[in-house]
Amino acid sequence: MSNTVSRPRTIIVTGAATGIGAYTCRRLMGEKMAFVIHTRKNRECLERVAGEMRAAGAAVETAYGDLAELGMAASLVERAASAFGGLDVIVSNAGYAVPINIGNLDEKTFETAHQVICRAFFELATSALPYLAKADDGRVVAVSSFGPHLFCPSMPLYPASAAAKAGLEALTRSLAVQLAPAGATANAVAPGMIIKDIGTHVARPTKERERQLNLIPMRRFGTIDEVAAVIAFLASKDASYVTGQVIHVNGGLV
Amino acid sequence: MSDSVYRPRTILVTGAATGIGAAICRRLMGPDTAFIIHTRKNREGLNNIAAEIRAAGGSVETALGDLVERGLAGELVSRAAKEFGGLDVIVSNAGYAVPKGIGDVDNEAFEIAHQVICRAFFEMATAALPHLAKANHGRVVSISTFGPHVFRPGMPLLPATSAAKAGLEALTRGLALQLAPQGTTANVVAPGWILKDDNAHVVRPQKVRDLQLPSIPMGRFGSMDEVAAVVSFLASKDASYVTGQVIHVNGGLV
Repeated sequence: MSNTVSRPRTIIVTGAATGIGAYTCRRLMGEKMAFVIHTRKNRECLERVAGEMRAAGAAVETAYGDLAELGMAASLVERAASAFGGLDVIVSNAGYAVPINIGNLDEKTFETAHQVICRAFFELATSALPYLAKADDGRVVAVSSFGPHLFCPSMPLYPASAAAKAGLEALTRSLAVQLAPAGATANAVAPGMIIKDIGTHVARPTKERERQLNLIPMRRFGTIDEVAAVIAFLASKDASYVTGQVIHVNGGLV
Repeated sequence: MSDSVYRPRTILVTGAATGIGAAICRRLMGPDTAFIIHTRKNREGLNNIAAEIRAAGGSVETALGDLVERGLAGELVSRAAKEFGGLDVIVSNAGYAVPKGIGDVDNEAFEIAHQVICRAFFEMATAALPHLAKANHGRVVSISTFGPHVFRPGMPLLPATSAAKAGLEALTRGLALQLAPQGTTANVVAPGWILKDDNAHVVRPQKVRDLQLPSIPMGRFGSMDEVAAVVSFLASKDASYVTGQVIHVNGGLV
């Protein structure tokens, strides 16, 4: 469906201040693009990313808040609609890493992971549905992780995060079927073990990560930009017949 | 590993005369590229693609022959090495559709599917291994199909082809592990129902294909270029941490 009034390709990225979210913004930014970028509270980093994007010709709105709170995700969609007249692409990247095993994991932490990762995406998708159905080349990319796919003795366990990400993937695949008649796609990207940039929340101490290297066929961790490259491809018009998929970016980790 | 002497990015595409193979060539061609393009016997179609590649600034060698025959797949690799000094990308696209159920498939047809799809890839991978290990951003992309993934009433069954493609996928994933330490990737692209051009080998008449539309969430067939876009991304330097994956390009078909 084409728009009668020209409006910029409008993109929401959650968890955009650092790491995969920030690099995704760098991959996607450009002229005739508009962004609502979100982070919980890292104002300094989010404003820096916004500055880079504006320098590249993009219009940018920044948004702060905890996605665990009801209404926060929907407010991002409303912001896109009111500031830019629509919404074309969602990159749901905000996560919540809980490296605590069952037994030590309390219910509050478990629920927070669910709220931030899974329920917030549900809220985002619910409010975005009418916009995505009207979008030209609408795209949803949910950032999952290897967690829900790899359970073996030598790998770290994040049961709360893995369960929430598993739910995120299932929601994304359902959304794909609902959006498909309108030509919008929805896919998940599941990164393997990735080196985060400075300023990112690093869930694992470096020494522990070193031990995981032997499990990766490529014998190296991925870079943030290698994940962002796949997200950017899925968000592009070129990826028009790829939907309902979980794409692993993991150097062969199985 | 870098080369001391300049050479073009060298790409081998089988089944390149028409259809998805030709669309892939069109996506990958450009200056500083060199191609070995292969088809069984459609000389005219192959020469047309060769002319397009040359017009886009690439070098090209054409090769005719049946991949059933031992030695042909290996010869394509040696041709690349001899003409262009190496081999960086393999797109194994040649297929063999046997649209018959078990009971109607004879042993000969079953074996031809295996030879052309699975054994030929094995031969090609074996011959290419030392070249891919030396390549900068080496890439292998094999073209599978939805066949080995979708088994249900109402779907056409191509058991011989599906078995061969399942073998191709397993070989590709095994190859990915072997190539990973060198930074070379190997992935599979599995197209869903794709509209072919008039010259391409069409397995099912259009009216039979139309019956499948309701099972495709997007409610339409894919285009050859939509498959080629994903192959082209996987063959690019950007896709450097994606390996050992089967990527479905199917409009959500499950």
